Amino acid sequence: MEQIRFAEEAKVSSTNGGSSFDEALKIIYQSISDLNEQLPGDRQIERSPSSVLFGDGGKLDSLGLSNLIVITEQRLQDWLGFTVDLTEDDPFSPGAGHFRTVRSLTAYVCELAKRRSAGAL
Amino acid sequence: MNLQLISDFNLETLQQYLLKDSSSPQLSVTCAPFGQVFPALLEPVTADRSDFALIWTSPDKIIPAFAAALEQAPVDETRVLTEVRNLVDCLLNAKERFRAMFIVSWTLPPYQRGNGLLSLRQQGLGKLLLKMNLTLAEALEGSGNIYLLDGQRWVEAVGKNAYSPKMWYLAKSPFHADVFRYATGEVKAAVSAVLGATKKLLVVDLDNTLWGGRCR
Repeated sequence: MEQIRFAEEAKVSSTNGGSSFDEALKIIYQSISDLNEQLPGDRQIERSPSSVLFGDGGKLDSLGLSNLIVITEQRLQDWLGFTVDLTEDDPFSPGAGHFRTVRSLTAYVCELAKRRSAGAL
Repeated sequence: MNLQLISDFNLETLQQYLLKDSSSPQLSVTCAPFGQVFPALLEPVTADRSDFALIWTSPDKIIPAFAAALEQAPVDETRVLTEVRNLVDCLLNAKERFRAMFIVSWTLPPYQRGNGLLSLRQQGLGKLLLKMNLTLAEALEGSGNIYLLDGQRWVEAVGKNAYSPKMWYLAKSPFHADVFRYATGEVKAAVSAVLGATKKLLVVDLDNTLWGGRCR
């Protein structure tokens, strides 16, 4: 199981071609670990890019999702050095919302960092 | 053993941490209906009573006169402290229902600056909150099984991110999850102390007293 997970992480890393994606993924995994400390065993979120956070197949209830948002925002703020708001840009849209999976959330964080460095944030 | 959580904000995160915590003593944890502090305290004694209760409230939700002061209304200190004593009466009435009750002292978020420079002067919010906590502490002093826990220390232990306005608007909980994680250890320690399960280790230096200064 662990081997599959690392293989998938490596694949995601290579397809997104940047250390910033890996770094963002690491931050989100740390946030998931924090969140798992309060979740019962059957509702734990797997640290995998394909883990569903919201929508069909998701295990989080509204309180869990709220805690994940706030925990991740704080960790991202410490990492990036600026305030991050993960509830912008229609986060729960069924099609394109960035809270669908760990992968989509990571990609969104990278996009935010890019926008910031381009002076758009 | 079971613990009932009574609050005017969402304590489900604390409930989850407490249920997940594997340290002794193991507790089953229930939450009273959200925001129903007084009805939960005024319930009659029943056979399936809880062993312990944790009452954690926001000062501006449980003391309406303090909420008015927060909204920049003139501070009516007498009314505020009367409302605190009314709460104390309810706590004292409820104490027969529990083996022990833990009350978390009131705190304010750092962004609630009140009267700024004058916060600790007459009519200041900081001073008023100190008086409210002192009134609570003194009124519960001789109550036997009601213990006041220092909420300010929990908030300070977590630091600048202890309060989360976003969590309030998303989930009706004013605190970051780290505050509840920290509180879990504190509540467990309090329950252990009441049960007499805490241990004290004394390390003494007895050179030249027991064995003449040598280890054999």
